[in-house]
Amino acid sequence: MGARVRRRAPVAVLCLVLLVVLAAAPYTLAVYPLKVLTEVLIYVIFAMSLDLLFGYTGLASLGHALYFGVGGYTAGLLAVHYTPSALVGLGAGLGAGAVSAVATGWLAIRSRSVYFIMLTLAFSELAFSVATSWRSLTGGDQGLIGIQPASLPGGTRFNGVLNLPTFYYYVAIVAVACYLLMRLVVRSPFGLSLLGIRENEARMRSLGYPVFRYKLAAYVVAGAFAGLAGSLYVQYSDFVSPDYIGFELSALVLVMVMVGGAGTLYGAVLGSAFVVVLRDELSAAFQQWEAVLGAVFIAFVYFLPSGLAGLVRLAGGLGRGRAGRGGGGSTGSGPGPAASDVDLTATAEANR
Amino acid sequence: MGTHGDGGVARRQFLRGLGATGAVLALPSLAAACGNSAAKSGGRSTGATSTLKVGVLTPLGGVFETVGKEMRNGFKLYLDTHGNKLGGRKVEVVTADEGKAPADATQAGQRLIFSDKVDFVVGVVTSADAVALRDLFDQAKVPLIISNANVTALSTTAKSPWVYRTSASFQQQGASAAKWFYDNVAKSDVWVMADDFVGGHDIAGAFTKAFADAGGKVADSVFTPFQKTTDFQPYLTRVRNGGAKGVFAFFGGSEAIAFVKQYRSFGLFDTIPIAGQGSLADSAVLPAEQDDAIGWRGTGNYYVPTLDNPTNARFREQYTGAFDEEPSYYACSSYDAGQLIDLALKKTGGKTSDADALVDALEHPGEFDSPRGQMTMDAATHNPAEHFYVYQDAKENGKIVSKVIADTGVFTQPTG
Amino acid sequence: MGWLDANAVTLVNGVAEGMLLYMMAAGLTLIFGLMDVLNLAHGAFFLFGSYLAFQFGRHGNNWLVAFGAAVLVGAVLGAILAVATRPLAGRGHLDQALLTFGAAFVLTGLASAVWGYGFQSVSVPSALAGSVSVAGHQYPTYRLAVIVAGLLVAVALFVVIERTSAGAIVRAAVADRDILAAMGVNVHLVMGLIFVVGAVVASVGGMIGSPILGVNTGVGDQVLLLALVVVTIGGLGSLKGALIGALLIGEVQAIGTALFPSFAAFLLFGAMAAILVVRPQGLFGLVHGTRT
Repeated sequence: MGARVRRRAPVAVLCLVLLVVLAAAPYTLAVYPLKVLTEVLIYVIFAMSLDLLFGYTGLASLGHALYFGVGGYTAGLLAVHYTPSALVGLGAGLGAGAVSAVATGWLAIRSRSVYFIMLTLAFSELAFSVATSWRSLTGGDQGLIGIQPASLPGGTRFNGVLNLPTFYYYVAIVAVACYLLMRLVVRSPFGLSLLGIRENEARMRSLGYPVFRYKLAAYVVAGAFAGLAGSLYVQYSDFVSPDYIGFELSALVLVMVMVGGAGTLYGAVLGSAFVVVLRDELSAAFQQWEAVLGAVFIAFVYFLPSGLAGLVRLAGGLGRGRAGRGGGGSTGSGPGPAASDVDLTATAEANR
Repeated sequence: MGTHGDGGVARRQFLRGLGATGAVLALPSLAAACGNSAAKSGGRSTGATSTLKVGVLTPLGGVFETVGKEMRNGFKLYLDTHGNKLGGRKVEVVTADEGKAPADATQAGQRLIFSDKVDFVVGVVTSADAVALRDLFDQAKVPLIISNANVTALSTTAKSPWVYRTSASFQQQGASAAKWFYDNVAKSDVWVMADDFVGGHDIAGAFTKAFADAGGKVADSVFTPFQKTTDFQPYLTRVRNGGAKGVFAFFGGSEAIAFVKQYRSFGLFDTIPIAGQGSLADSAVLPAEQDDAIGWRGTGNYYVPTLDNPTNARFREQYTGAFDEEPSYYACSSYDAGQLIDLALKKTGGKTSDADALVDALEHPGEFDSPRGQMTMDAATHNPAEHFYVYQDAKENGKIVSKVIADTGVFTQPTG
Repeated sequence: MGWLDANAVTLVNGVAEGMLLYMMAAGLTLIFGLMDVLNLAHGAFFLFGSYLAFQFGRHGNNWLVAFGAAVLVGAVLGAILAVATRPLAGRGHLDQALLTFGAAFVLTGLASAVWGYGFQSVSVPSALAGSVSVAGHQYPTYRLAVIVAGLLVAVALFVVIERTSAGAIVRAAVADRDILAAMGVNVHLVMGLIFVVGAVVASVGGMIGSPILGVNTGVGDQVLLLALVVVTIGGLGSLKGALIGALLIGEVQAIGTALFPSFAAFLLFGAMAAILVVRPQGLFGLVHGTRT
């Protein structure tokens, strides 16, 4: 018991420090870095939602931007035609993400491994074509024109410049809430069953788990959070275009999760911050920044196979008892970081 | 800490921090390097004597890099030939990457406005980027001078006091071609072929309407998947089977190359007369099209390098001298973006502090001395009133040259 | 009969497009099926082939040099990636994907540093320039040559893998690496050679495809997506599947575009989604997806 407290204390302190840093940001950061931080927080939600699917359930999707974009278009269309209310947009984005994830996930999770990846890619590409060709609704390739500045709780309007600190707090609170909610999900019996499915689907099935329904539920939860992130992003930028659904964004968020370290949630936080800021800084510094970015990815594969989360574990000695790396999820094979995973399957069993 | 150079310091410290500890831990160093916080935000420099900061926002990589380079060159030429001054103020240029998607462009735009604290931004290649940037500049009240993106809406429904264009709108380009097409290419059973994107529909729609006004009749339109079409054979077969007597087309980039080559290799060039938007065989794609471009007629051009006027003679000589290639319309409109800032600041006495005066000066900058010939800013649409030309490609001394064959007159973006 | 008459060219062209797709996809499915590596740098191999065609073949007279260069560069790139991915064996497809995704960025950057970003193109060799008549319509000769080239690649791969002793070793290596290693065969070398062959097929495909697809830095991504679609439809790792998937997609695109032009943008991914929904492992894939 005592050892447990001692081990947990630094984590609690770290969390507190992070919260204070987040709360103080508008007072310490200039406009531009605060905007970058706001954007990072939105990507954090998006990346965590994919981690739920990829890291915890073992379903690597290459079409996750579909739900981000659907949430974004929903919030954007509401703000053009009905109401600028940020909370309404947020809720609608969440709902739209969930609904579209039910419709597509139901078909996608019948496939496995690379076929699953390709089917998710196909759905997002089809949605991309819909967004491009349904010009009367979406504005086509040029994007949606006329999105009103978001009206935040308390009545302040965020227009990209004015009231940025208020908007930042709104995003920060939503992001922290999303983190806590997703943490709750992954630690629930449901979440542990997902880990069991990731590690040994056949065994979970033979134990009587309705594996298909569990996977679909994970897919829908992930889609809902992605939709919410998309609606936030549209409120942040007053703009949405088919690129928000496209392959490049899907690949980018998958890279964020892998670079951060899949199957940890906080890895997704680190990964999205790292990739957003690195891209931003590199593109301002080099013309050939994409090649440099590629080299960084290669270095990660060789030298940080567990991502930034692995680095944190290494530094903080926090590794024990946590969920193993999820990168192997797509293969569904290999003992991987065996001890903890076996425990988890057992726990899932016990929790039934 | 002064206003200028903050961004650079922040960036260097930041990268060092990044290498050592990773992104999140480095954020405080970014904060330390930037003077004032968001809670007590500071504005851009507004003095009439200090250095004027101008952001140049174009793609630094990807398939639009060449276009971006020509835009950077055109703007640079205006500065180089005007003592590196605009409105009497010395200019500092900040280059930023428009990237591949609107999110990249807005990120870079934010950096220019809030971190580099620029006074003006010029550039922007794609229409989606322009639309995405529109609200940002509208809200920050920093003038954005678009020197390519042709999206019509920025001159109509999404017009902003802070967004101007020195190129042309899609509708303007499509409409300008109609009468000439009726007189010189075909009168009836005309098919329109274009990329299935908003710009394609804008040009096709404006052409179709103006063509009907001229007495012609468009039989049908074919739209091909945007940026995904490499094979036009099914569409070409459709047009031929449909009995087309003339084709008006609009494609750009690699699709323009494929279209021009395939229109010839499937045997349509000699049987169905064609003309189309100048991007089909402009400087960006001519080196790739080579002999396949010979005989092509391009409409809707506000600039062609072979235009015969004294300003262009000078411009062309200076440009080829500096960059060792022919100037394109991208270069011309970016040259004129510099000129718009110059003319406007001369009216405000170099000041950018009075928003109303600045907007008024940008809307009424007076007559341009442009290589394209006569040009004014149309205050109602923030888009130029300008001549449109038709070129035809020919081979001279082993090189493909676009020769001006018609001036279709002055057009503005139609309002309402 | 009237429709067939009017659209004979379309059908022929679907075959040409299909063979072009096959040349994009064959190397990818070879490397995936036999080496179990999901190689996202595949498009970059193709890209290098097309730039080499631009470099040496642009005046239509140095195609043999271009061919030699494409083989050589493809082999070198394939060997490098074979060595680079070896430490990742057993770490799952996604790690390989991230590595090769990074490699694709680096290779594309390299290509743009050497050849710039502009749109380039390659003229067809003079012997194949011009058109022939297909069902009374003019049709580019070069596209017929592409059909022949694709068939040659297909036959060569089939013969080497199914009918030669080297192919027998490859098939044995796929079935059971350990036994083969116990028999004294250098399995790593065999695997590396497969990677090299896959890369060479891609870069030669890039060379052959360059007059049709054009040459610019965007070609790599475009080809990668197309190849992934074809390979997935056919069933990962199946050469026969890649061939049939490629021809299927070629015809679906050609006929679909002719019949329903407004839905052209949806044909490619719509076809793939439909096939995967009905057959989650592709047309010729193993029931349990892939080996792990």
